[in-house]
Amino acid sequence: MRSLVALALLALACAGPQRPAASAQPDGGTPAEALGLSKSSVFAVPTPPAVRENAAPPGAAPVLPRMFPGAPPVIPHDVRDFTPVTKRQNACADCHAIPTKTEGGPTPLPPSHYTDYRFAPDKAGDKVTGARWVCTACHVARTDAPALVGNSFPAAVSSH
Amino acid sequence: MPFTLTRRELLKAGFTTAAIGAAGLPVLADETREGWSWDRGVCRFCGTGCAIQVATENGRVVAVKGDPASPVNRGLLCAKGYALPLIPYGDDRLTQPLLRKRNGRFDKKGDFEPVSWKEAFDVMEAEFKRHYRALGPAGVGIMGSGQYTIMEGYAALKLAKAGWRTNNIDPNARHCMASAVAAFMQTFGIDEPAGCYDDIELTDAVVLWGANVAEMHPMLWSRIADKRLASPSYRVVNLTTFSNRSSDVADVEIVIAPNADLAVWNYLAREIVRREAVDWDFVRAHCSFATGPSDIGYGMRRDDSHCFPAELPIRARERSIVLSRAEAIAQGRKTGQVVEQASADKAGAHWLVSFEDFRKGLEPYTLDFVAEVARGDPDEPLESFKRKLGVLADIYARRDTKVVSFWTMGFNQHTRGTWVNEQAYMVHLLTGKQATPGSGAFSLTGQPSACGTAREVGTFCHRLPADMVVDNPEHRAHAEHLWHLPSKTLNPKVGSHITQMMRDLEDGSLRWLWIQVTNPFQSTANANHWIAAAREMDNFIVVSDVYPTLSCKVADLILPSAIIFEKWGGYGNAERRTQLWRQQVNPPGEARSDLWQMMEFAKRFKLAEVWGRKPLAGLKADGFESGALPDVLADAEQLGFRRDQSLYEVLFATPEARKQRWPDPVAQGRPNCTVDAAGIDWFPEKALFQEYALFGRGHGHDLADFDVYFREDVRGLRWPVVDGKETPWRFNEKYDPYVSKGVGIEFYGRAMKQVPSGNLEKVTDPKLVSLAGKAKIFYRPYASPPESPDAVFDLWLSTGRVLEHWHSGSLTRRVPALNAAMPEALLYMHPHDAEARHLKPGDLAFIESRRGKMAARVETAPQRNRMPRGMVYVPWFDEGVFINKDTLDATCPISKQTDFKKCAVKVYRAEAIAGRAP
Repeated sequence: MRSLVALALLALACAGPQRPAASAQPDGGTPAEALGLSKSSVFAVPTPPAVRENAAPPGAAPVLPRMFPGAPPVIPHDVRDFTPVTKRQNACADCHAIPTKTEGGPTPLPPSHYTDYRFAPDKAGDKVTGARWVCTACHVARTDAPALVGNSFPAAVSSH
Repeated sequence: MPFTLTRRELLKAGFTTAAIGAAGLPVLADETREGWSWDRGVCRFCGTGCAIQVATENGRVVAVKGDPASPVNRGLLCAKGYALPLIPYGDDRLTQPLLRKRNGRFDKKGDFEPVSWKEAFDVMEAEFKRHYRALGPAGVGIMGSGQYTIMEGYAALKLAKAGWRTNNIDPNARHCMASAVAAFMQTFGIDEPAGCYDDIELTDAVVLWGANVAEMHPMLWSRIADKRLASPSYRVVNLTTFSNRSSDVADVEIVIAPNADLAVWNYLAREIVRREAVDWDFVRAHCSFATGPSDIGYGMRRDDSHCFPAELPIRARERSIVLSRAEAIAQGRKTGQVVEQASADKAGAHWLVSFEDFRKGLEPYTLDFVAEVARGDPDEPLESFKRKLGVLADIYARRDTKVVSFWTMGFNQHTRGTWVNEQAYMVHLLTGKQATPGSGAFSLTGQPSACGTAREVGTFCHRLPADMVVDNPEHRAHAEHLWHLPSKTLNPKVGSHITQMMRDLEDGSLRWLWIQVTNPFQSTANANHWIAAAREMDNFIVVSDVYPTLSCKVADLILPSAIIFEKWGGYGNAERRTQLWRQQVNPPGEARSDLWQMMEFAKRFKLAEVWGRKPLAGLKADGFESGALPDVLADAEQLGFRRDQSLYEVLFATPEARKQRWPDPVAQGRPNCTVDAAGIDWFPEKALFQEYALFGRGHGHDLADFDVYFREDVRGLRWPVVDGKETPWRFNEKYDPYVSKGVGIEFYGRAMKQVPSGNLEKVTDPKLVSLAGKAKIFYRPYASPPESPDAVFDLWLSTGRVLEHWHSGSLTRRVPALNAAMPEALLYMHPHDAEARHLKPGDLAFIESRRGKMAARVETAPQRNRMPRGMVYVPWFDEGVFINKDTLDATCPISKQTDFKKCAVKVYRAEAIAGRAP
């Protein structure tokens, strides 16, 4: 009995995401619990969802569309074996520092990544600039987490 | 300077990627589309202040890029910066006011219903006046932000301090850099860094002290990494309480125990003295030695009011402590000695000491002692740790090595935050490595306008613009003069800082609160107290925001605001660079700029309601009746005001302000939603900026004219801007026009420059000595945190950010790519600590402190944070992983900034609760 009570308490404590999103009341009011990114009371202890990192090896998953032209592409594959990028090791560049795209091959770094925008902005050199060495500053990988809310930003354009 | 690594150096450095085949490719043309219109702007996120170019089409933001012409970020942005075009477009954007109602009227226990702006302001006004009449100016307040635009912060300050005569306005920046401010004021007599980001390229060594720049300021990190990879002799040291991404490019990583930074600095100073590395020419000419009381408490409540039973033992330490062995040695006292925290009320007091006393204070901080206190990773051999401290001492002590020390929250969020900031200056001043290109102690900031707005405008409970303070009669008189106010309109009693406002809510002494551009119920430590006070007591809380945040859920009224691209504005970054922008698109639905909201609400106050005699408990100031602000209405009439005039007319739509006409050529045809919603023919953002700039000109805070910042050849300007020229290095005659001719270096700040003299214990000669032109080198001892792990709460908890999310995540979590990259806050812990608690990666764990409990999933992988045994890290961006229910609201007693980096928790499997009823 005692453990049953405890289980019920746990269920209550963890009710956040499982609870159906509170809907508008008949008179049109929206309870606070229905607002925000965690559909629960501010007094509750919600259970965070379990999410999985992208386990697709490089080349297995399609290239994802960019948010807009010029936006850094999202990394479409597992990065756990390739990160962190350190001053001695850049496993990303091992594959991506190539001149041209081949069918099914890695996406080449664009010339901007060989250009020192601070001191020599007029031409691309032959090495990745230090300013862009830490790939994870701009490029993010992804998990299987669905969007928390939709976003109506102009539809993503195809990668180019 | 081209990329200069030779093939040999490249191999020596162990590069896995050598020459790369991009030669001959043309530099890519700018990404753009027909129909896109480009303009300049500033990033909405951290304090780096990256300049952007923003594209719009058909009234929508469609793209951004880093501005290649900006010296800050040279065409680059981080993952958050590239997400900027998406942040206005989350599906749950607030587009109309929402009020808690039941049966057709406001009810604190009701649900949120859409209402008109008129109904929203009607209820907001009625509730304001109910509480203002009962409690006076201390019963109302504003919580603002380091994300306020300069103009918004200035309007809020003016409305609160000149209009309502309350000093209860304080920003979330209190949680962010108040310790930096206090240390700047005590050390230099003027706020904000001497140096600038150019120091990164000019220095020989960068030392990070509690600053994970790789994640929190990625574009500054890009500059540091660029320089490090190009210069094999350049050194990067990461001094931190856990291994993180900044360690990945660093040459030396020093993992220290919480609070041990205080001991490490004293070790460095002791070494500098011992090695005779003091730059005596610099010190004699420009510095004096100083100290202050050490028994200053921890900024917690002094009594046990509203205390959860479990909090009692920690709360008791606010009154007296039992010295630990380390503290006893560090302070020259006895282990186990009971020390009353008798100086809590005068924590900021300080006095001059002799160099001999200063040296005596440093004496206990030997390498052996400091290594024992400071080693933060129990698995690191002590000898290895000592070697690293030696390397650090070499960097600071070598006369010819230029060094920059950067810090952020590891220092500032610290119960001795002011002290540890001052210790950084101690070492840089001792060695003469301050205020000179390539050398300096440099406080970075976390928010886009923590400097530009919170600090420079002065949206703090003790401040006025340009470093002035409310408890200085000359400063009040100057502000009253510039604002055309009757004498004694301004309130001389320092108001409540942001954490104190939360405590005031709990006490019932503050009952009306307007929250703007911030999410304090998620971001304030020990949150269970404040959300209960807000929801269960008789008070009225208004939140203006763009999305429904956790604070909105706590609120009674939610007002929909415009976001960065939807309004005119300006920010000031961590290197004193002021950058302004034009509005690009209009806000959706009935969302309005925060400035319009303040101007409109100000119309609801007649002078007769606010400038009469007002009760103010505890007020004691020369020339003021005790306990009350005077009636200034008669004087106001003398100045030409009428009793029935509104605060809108008196504070905002002044004859001077209305001279800034709209439309204005500087807009180049772009819109102004404030003007449109208000139906006016003048330009409020420009008027406010121009008026605000009057405060700083001639006082070392000079800003340029509004229009200058929009010139094609300007990418922001670092103040002071004198005769059209910016100031890259302050206090240095070569660069700073405020320095007297012929002196080289001059620390000309004027605050706190008259001080008494004494020894390490106390003042012995109260006669005030003038330190004009000098900085202070403070001796500050090691002190333990108020709460440390014990047998029950056996782990340190540190909180902070992650690269992918900004603050409480209200913007970045609505960007699908950023959310998918970092969907929830994880519990970072050492694999052995996890194993010992039968936890695997991905398992659900409770994290419980004396103050609250929440649940998160375990992460032990090494890609991001590598925790030492005994410490866990939980980011605070996730409202579903509400970590500030656990954290302790102890603050630096001088700066009142909370220590979010240290408290004690226990961690256990979430399922465990099923077997044991709580």
